[in-house]
Amino acid sequence: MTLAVATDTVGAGERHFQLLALSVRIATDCPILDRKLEYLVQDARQDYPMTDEIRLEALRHADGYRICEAGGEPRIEADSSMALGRLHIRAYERAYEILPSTGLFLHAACGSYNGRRFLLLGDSGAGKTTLITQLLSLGALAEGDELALLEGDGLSALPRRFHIKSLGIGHFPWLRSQLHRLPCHDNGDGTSIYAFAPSDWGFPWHIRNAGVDAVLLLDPNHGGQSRIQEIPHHQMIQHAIAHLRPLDRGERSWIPALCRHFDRAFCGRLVLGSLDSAASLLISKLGDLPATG
Amino acid sequence: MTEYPRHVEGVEINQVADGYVVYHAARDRVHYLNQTATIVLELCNGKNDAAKIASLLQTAYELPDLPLEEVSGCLGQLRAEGLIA
Repeated sequence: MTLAVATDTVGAGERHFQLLALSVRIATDCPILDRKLEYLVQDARQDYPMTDEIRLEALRHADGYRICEAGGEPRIEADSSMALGRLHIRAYERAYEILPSTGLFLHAACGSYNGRRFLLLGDSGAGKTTLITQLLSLGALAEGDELALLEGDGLSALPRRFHIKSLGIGHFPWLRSQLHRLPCHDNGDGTSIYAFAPSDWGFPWHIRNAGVDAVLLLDPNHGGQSRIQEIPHHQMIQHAIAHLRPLDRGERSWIPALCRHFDRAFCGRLVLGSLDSAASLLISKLGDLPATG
Repeated sequence: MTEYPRHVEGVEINQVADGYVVYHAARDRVHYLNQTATIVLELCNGKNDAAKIASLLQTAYELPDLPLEEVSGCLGQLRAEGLIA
């Protein structure tokens, strides 16, 4: 079954968006929660075919919010933040459930420049979100900032707003001047996370399901120089396997697909010094590669 | 230890441009082999001993000396990882 693609706001209090193969609808009768849903909802155009749907309701209740799903037991959440968290978890949980078990998630940002598609592999804090957002402002197409699904012959960024930490927002004056437009999550420790959607700033946001031309392992070198050093494919696969999340932990049937994808790509370590120099180096390197489309 | 090593059954070999990624299901282990180790593993077909493998490598890479010590070391590692018998 393939569902028609549509991403929009349906009537008052109902949000509709795509999460890979899943069509998600979330309805609420609460304007406060509806506004908070901006943090979760995105309008990325996605190539991944939708095959299933979920509809969640979050209705005001004497004790908070009543979260309902067809065929499931209602759950009560005490406030709008907890309700948002529950809706977030359930939507992504369901999206993962319907993906083929042979797939896997790579901890990587994804984008393309002049027809060359790239992955930026790295741990949390390595600079994936910062670099992909910087590249966006330099003319790249940014698809995702955190996870990429490798399944069959295609690789798709996980559709999610980019999570820019408040400590890193200073890198982007064009965002800093309009923070009021960014949905925000308060971490409760004086920091927060801004949920950025390229489309909100007029950038195209198209998540393709295709191969990659370059895989870069991010190696932070704060305050130092940036450089790109080519590394053997088998070493890059070793790094990737150390940082991936298979959908079925009982099998390793995804190894051949991972090897096929990486074998077609340039593999390198991107030592990330200053943001400007790293972005320039990457753009230059991508320009040297043959475009595979 | 056999004189003519061969790679074991149940090993899934995935070739990439500059090496092998080998999955050994029985041990649930993944191995990453560079080009030299890849060639040594390929030559472990039950017909070549260490001296023959070294000789073939010497010819292939036009090496001045017979790399017997290196081949023996590589075979030892492959054997220790359970990839050859």
